[in-house]
Amino acid sequence: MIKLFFLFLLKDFKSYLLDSNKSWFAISFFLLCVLIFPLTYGSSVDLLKKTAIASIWICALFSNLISLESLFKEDYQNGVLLQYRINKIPFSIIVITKCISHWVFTGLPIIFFSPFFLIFLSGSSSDALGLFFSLLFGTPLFSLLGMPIAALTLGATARGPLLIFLSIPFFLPIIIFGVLGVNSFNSGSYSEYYLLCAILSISIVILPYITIKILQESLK
Amino acid sequence: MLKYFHKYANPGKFLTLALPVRKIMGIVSIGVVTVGLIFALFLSPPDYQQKETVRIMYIHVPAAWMSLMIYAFIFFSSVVFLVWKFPLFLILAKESVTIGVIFTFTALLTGSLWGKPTWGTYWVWDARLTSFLVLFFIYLGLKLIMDSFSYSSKGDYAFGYLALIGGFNLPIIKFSVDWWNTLHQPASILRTGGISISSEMLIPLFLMAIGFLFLFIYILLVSVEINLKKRKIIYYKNKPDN
Repeated sequence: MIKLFFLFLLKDFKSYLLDSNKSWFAISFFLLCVLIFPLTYGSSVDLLKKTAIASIWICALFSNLISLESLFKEDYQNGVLLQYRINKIPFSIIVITKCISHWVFTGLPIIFFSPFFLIFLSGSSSDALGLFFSLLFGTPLFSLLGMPIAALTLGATARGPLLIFLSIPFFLPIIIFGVLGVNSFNSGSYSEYYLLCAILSISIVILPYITIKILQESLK
Repeated sequence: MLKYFHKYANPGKFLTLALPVRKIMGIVSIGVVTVGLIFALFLSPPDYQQKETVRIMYIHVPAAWMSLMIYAFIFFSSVVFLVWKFPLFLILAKESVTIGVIFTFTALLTGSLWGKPTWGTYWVWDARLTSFLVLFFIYLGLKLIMDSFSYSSKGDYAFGYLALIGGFNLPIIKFSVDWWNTLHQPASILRTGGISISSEMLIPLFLMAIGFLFLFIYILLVSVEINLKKRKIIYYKNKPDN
């Protein structure tokens, strides 16, 4: 079981690394999104300083939404998922490895680049640590919450817009707590971080299970 | 109990039961809503702080209750559908969505109209209002996902699971006024320590709530009947003998 898990993880990592479209798309989309905010605010540096954290969170949301579409799509269309089912490979392994690889290639680069972007946007690094931790707890939740919705919309006509419309309401609480957490980080209150951690630990238990059920249902 | 449950989960049997219930509900709901409106608009006293604008409450609060209740109904029906595969419960859940959208929109609209004279603003981004807006968008998502599959059986399961995941929002809406400091007032009916509202206002409020509940049941039964008959027509059209 453990051997199979690492085999699948390696396979997913390879598929991300070999396909430069997949691995670079999320982070380059993030870069492009961040660029929009300074340009649209014109010359008001004050506004940019105040909204730097919010704009980084918005960009993280968008790049996650865009990359969600490719989560199960290829395997589903090629019939690979059906082959896994026929060969009795446990879906728990597939779902968890997909989630990990999706987070590693979309969430992790954003987390590491976010302090630089904060300095680039606001000119000060006072909130960098808070932003780092809020994204560290927030982006896995994006991947986890997006997973069942990506599995739900498999086989739908006009899947992309539907996927985005369905997932934004579920992502809203994470953005709210993430942004609130950064704002109160420097005053020494970490309540929003605890809340994000609580949501994360519940989601890790429940959401992969729901995703497995949905995937099995979609292959019938 | 379970015997009757199994018996009336059959769509044909359900229709024979639904027809008389529907007629009673239609008449009763019109009567109760009319009496409730007379109480609410003329007989109940104006509030000592909010004056006459408090009468918006008699629409706003029952509509908000109904939209929460309808979501809970959709949640439990889709659980029943996913676990025991009763097709009737899927139809019940699907037909409730449109009614839920309308009630949620009514609650949001009357709430914002009530907010202007009392709070001085149409909208604030506090926890209760935001979570209710999220409920509205979850309803819209359910409405969208129903018709976006070319094979309807896939859409049925997608609908059921989406309703299941969206259920996380209900406790957040209910307890948002207790967990955060909100501009929206805390609960005054279902709370520890009893009801904190005078009986002159409570009677029209409950009348309106019961009237809305009966109205929901009436509309639901009518639309379920239409849905079942449509399926029957499609079935007979596609039957190979004709």
